[in-house]
Amino acid sequence: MKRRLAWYLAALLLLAVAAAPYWVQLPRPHGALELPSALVDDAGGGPAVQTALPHSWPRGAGERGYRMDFWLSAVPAEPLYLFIPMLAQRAVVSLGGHQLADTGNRSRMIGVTSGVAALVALPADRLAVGRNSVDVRVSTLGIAPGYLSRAYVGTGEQLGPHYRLRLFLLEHLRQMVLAMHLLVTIAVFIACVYRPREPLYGWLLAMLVTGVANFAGLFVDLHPRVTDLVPYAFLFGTMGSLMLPVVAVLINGMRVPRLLQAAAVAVPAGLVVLAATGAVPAATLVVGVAGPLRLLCVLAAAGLVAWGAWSRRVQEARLMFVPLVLLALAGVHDVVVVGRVLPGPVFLAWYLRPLFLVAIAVLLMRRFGLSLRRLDDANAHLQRRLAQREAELARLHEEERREATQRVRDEERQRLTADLHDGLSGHLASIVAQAERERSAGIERSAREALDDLRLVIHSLDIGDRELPVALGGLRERMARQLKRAGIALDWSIARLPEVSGVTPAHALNVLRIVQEAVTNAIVHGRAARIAIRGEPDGEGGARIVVENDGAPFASHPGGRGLENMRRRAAQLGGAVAIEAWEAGGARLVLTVPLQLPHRS
Amino acid sequence: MQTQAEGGTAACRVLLLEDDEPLRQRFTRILQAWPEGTLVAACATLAEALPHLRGPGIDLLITDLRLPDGHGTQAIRTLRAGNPQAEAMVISVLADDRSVLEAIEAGATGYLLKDADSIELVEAIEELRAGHSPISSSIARVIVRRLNGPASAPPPPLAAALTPRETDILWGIAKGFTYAELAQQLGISRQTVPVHVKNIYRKLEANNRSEAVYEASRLGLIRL
Repeated sequence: MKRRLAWYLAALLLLAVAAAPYWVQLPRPHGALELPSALVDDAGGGPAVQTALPHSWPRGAGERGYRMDFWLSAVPAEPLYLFIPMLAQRAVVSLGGHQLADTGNRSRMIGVTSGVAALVALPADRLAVGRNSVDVRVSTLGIAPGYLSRAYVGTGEQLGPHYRLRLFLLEHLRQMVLAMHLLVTIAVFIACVYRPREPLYGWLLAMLVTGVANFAGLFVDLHPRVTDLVPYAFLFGTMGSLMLPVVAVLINGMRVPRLLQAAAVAVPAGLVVLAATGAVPAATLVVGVAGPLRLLCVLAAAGLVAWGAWSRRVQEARLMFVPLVLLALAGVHDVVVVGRVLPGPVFLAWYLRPLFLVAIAVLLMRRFGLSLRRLDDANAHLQRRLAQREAELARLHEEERREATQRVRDEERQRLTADLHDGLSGHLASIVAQAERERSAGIERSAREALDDLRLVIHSLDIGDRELPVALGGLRERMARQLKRAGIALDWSIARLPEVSGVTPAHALNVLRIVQEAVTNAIVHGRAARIAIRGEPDGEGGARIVVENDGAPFASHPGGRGLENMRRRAAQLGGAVAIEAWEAGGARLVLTVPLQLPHRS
Repeated sequence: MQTQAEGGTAACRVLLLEDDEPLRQRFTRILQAWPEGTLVAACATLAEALPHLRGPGIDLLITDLRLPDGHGTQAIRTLRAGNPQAEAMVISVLADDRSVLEAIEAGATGYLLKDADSIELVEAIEELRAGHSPISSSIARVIVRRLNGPASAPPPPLAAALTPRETDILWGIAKGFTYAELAQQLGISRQTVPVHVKNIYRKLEANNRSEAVYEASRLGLIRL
């Protein structure tokens, strides 16, 4: 919504700038003598008529003579000048029948210079105290209407700044338009060279190059013959206008009809040929065909980009819309001026042309900027993809490395397990059998203990991460036999034990040995009748395993290496062991471990 | 070798196959003292045992796995092939060995520890005769891993053969739960857990056999 409002405001501002000639009043010379009327001689040779200035007459009606009188009360102290802010298109100024100046060639340009200003020095020796008469003969080339504004008589100081302002507006500005036109032409040429497959640049270049012909009027000072070529240049320059709809179609992203492409070249060429063979007078073609055709082209182009901008939502069409609409309005204005509906000899199209050139430059730079941005985006995207891929590869590599290590470790473990299983444990079992036969209870018990311990080690070797319950389950299966032989009841519950990660065989062995030690102590020293083992959360974000027995207090076995070993093992797990003895008999061992076990124990 | 075929309870005809002499003597002693069974023979080698196994004369085979002239699983397969009603039990140092699972796949439904005392041994046999099989958390874990592993072949995958209840039991045991905890969680009697376990073992055996058949047909050994 805000954006749309900004667009409307910008459009209004442009319209206001374009209409400047109608609402900006240039200052009048202050202190100078104003000549508000003149005696105008009729073209038909009738009697002269007193007429108010400014005055204009229809095109093609040759020339008019104006006589303006002014009175001097004394001989002027400074040199005096006659200043005519605007006339169309050529004036010969005389004072008292003596010709002072001829604005000459400068005023004969078609279109480019539709009006000029004049500043003529009035020689002191020709001025008289009292009445003085200035004659101004104004002639036209027969295309634009003749025009004469009010004139002023004053000192150089009074009139100079005004003359220079007019000079700037009516001549220098027009030359700047040419400079700008050439600059943009070069820019488009470069774009065309580097993007030959983009038809828009080619057509833009053709349009701008042929449009240069419209500036021919600026060069009449170079050679008198140029004046004769100016109408032909204007007819040829129509080609640029005919290419405008082609450019508009391309901006909308559509295909250009072949007929339109052919017409853009053929029609102006035909006009030039017609004029050159003398079949139709060049002036008639300029005013009757080329002028209206130009206006039609600008209107068509404006309509096309308007359709593209709002129906097809083409950004570039929106960009071109305002300049083209203003150009079209200026074209209407100029046609109306030629038709003498509006007063004033200034053609606006030339002043609004820069706006269109600016739009072309913006379009080029916009495309350039957009492609750079797309390039940046593509780069960023590729960089991101690359980083992702690299991260993925690094992750896969790490995973593979870990798996390979794991595989090697597993193989080693299996080999070790098989060796222990087939060799040592078989022998121990055999020893148990022999000791039983020999009734050697001590050996049998030792062999059984050795076998149990071996099982503990082998079993722990097979424990992987998060498999603490499996390790404890295996311990329970073995302990159940041991306790059954000793006649001790076992309450077992580890269902509530939280999941502990980072479990390695070494960790598992530490946990199993601590629990085994607690149970063994309860059997050997505690004279327990019941042992309870349970796993549960410790309430502080860790896990704990509790071993309770109802025999003698655990602490009644002091000084043993057992307790010290338990503490060391618990420390390796990143946890702690706590033992409480109960007065009534029995003890509790609590092993606390973190949910994430340390990497190295 | 027909013995006591009549009567309320037929004596269990046992064959012992163990190469370690002290252990064989010890088991022989225990089995001879068991009133409900008859020790048919105590063999030290596979060759010695095979003639006994081919006939229908054995109800229970108790075998070690590593033998001087072969492997215990061969004895189990021979027994099961000739007499599908017969049971087999392996002797292992560890109840959690992978080789125990191998024996189960060959058709064993129970296992014994090498240092089992007489009470344990007799209990184990009686449990087995009652249709109960033991399972350790390690064995359950190996089976669970196999269930989750990549499907080896088109023959009925083990995961599909097991009932949801059986799968639940395997998972629970693998996690270290006791039979009692598991029974409570699943809302079944504690005594039915080992029955399910035996069914799982039988399916393992069947699955193993069909895999072997598939593998053989794939290799062109058998034309299906």
